[in-house]
Amino acid sequence: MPNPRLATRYAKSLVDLAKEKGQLEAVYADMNYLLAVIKSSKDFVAFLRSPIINADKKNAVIAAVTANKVGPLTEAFNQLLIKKGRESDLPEIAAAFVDQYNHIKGIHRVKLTTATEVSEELKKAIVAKVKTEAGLAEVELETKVDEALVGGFVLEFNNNMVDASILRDLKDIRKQFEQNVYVRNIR
Amino acid sequence: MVQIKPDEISAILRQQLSNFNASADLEEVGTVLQVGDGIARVYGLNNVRSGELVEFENGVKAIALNLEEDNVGVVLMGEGKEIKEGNKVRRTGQIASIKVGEGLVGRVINTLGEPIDGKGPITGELYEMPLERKAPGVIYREPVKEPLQTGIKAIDAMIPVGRGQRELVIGDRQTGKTAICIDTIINQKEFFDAGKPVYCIYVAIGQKASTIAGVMKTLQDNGAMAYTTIVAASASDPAPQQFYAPFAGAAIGEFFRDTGRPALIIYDDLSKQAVAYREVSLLLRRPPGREAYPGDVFYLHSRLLERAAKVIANDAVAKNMNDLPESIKHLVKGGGSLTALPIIETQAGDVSAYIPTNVISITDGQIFLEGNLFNAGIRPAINVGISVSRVGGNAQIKSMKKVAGTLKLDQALYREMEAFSKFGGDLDAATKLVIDKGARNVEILKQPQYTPFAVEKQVAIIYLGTQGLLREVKVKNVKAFEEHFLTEMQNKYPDILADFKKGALPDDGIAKMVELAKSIIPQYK
Repeated sequence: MPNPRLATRYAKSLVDLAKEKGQLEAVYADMNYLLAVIKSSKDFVAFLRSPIINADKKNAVIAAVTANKVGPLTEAFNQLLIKKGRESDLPEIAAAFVDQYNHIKGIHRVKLTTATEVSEELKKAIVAKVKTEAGLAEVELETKVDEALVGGFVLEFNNNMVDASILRDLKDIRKQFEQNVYVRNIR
Repeated sequence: MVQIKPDEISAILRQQLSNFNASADLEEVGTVLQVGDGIARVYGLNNVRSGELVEFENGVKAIALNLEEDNVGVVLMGEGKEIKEGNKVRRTGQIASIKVGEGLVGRVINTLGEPIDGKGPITGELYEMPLERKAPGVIYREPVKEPLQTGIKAIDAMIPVGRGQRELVIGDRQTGKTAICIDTIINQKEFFDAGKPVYCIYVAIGQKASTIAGVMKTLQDNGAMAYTTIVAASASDPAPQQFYAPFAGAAIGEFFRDTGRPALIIYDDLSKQAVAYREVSLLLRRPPGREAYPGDVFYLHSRLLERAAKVIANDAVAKNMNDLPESIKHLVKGGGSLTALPIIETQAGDVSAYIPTNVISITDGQIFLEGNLFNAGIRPAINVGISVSRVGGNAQIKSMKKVAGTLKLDQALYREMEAFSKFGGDLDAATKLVIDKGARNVEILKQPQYTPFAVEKQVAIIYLGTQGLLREVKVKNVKAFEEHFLTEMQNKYPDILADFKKGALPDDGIAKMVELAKSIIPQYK
């Protein structure tokens, strides 16, 4: 089970130290690199989560993956995770770090899911709209294409969601038919 | 069924489609961290409130019970197999509720209010009633003063139950707890036929589905389903549905209570509900207490049973009742009542276990059923000595109060003397008198299942018993005499019985009745 409390604590320690040393931007870039690796390679996550592989091996692999790509602070942090036996939580910790970084910088992540690829102008329009409507100062847009939506879009930010997809409408209509209130009234 | 023409169907479809609101609203969502054993932990849902209904992507509903620092614990009200880690959960902004209306009468439903008897959707107007609702406050209540006739002689004479009372039925397995409650429901037929129905709700919790079907069949055969609703959460239903079933039943009962009508609710049984609640609580990692029940298991039962009440007979005051749901505000009337008969099953007669002591202290009295009485042929197997009704005589009609006043004491004395008489030897005349009368009274109080007695007949036969007029009838003949005597009474003096029913005990009527009894007694010597 993902452990949000644990992830926040580790992320907070890294954020605090990075801020103190003035390396926040560098560590942020490192974490984004790690997240990109995690996103692109399922095997890497499975490897991290495997309880069978011993710590030395994990340390060596992580060092190989991150060699020359991340700063010394991140490297030290990775080693700390392995020492504490928490390397399996690295994906959540990296995500939590990005969240906390965004919080400090006042950036809000907005996730846009659509059925087809969205043009740049539309993206800009949506960002502008979100900024004014939801009162968010800085917005970072993440887009995702999901054909199952059929049409429309799903917009998610700060645990809020605007679901204007055709899939949702279809589901709602199905529910309405299942309840069949009208048939009940004519009987 | 009404014939539906094709154009009607398309008209309905059109109406349904045109009513569909296609605009999207801002929703608060969370993500499933973990799901299993009927509970889920959700990350996000920052503003969710305790007891709020949330909905999963696949339409399954859940109730938020645990609000923790970094996650929300929700209990699923449906199948959890389709839910996966990472699924979205949205707030609905509603609290858990059930749709209640006149159409529920005669139906079998589950905790969510969905019919499960295969008779199609619930018809008629339905009103949204919350599952969890605060009980009426002091000023909206009235003392219990009207009897709720159970039709069981031992109860109506010695442990009277009033409308709005909470009377616990407690005993080991196989001692006739359910039988007493079913008989009570069947006895309400008299009021249904008279046009003043007492609406009955039978809540089955954690029972075998076959048992529930059996209860339904019995009620149907006795014509009692016409005013009864069954709320069923069988042993195979998820634990949250089992522990919310009594609340659903109470919500239905409150609908009748707050619209000025009497209702009777039977919780069969609350020990299984406590077990289901314990299961959910432990899965939610709430700290266990005595017998591993959570700390608030007392509150679980007390807030449920507080909802049984007699509402003040003043419409203007009743209309201002606390926590009235919006949906029924325009229907509220005073004078309604909700009587609760919770059932508790004890293990090997241990009433000092946690749940029995809790519920005994919450209710306004208890009816104890004992296995050895049952096996000795005393059925209903009520132990009169330790059964009490804290409402007492106010819940009896006057004639019954007068007639049965000494019965309880007589029987207590009889049990004491009976122990002595077992040693053999000669007894003095006074003791013998007590024993003779007691033995015959015990016979009178026996009663077969599904045969509730009308209160006027109870008054007649108990009068003979308490006055010692049956001295000459052999103990084994008492039952036969009773039957003969009551048939004769019904045929010859229906007016006297009618007087008894009204609460009067006219001297000339009594004299005639005694005369009749004396003329029959010689046949049963």
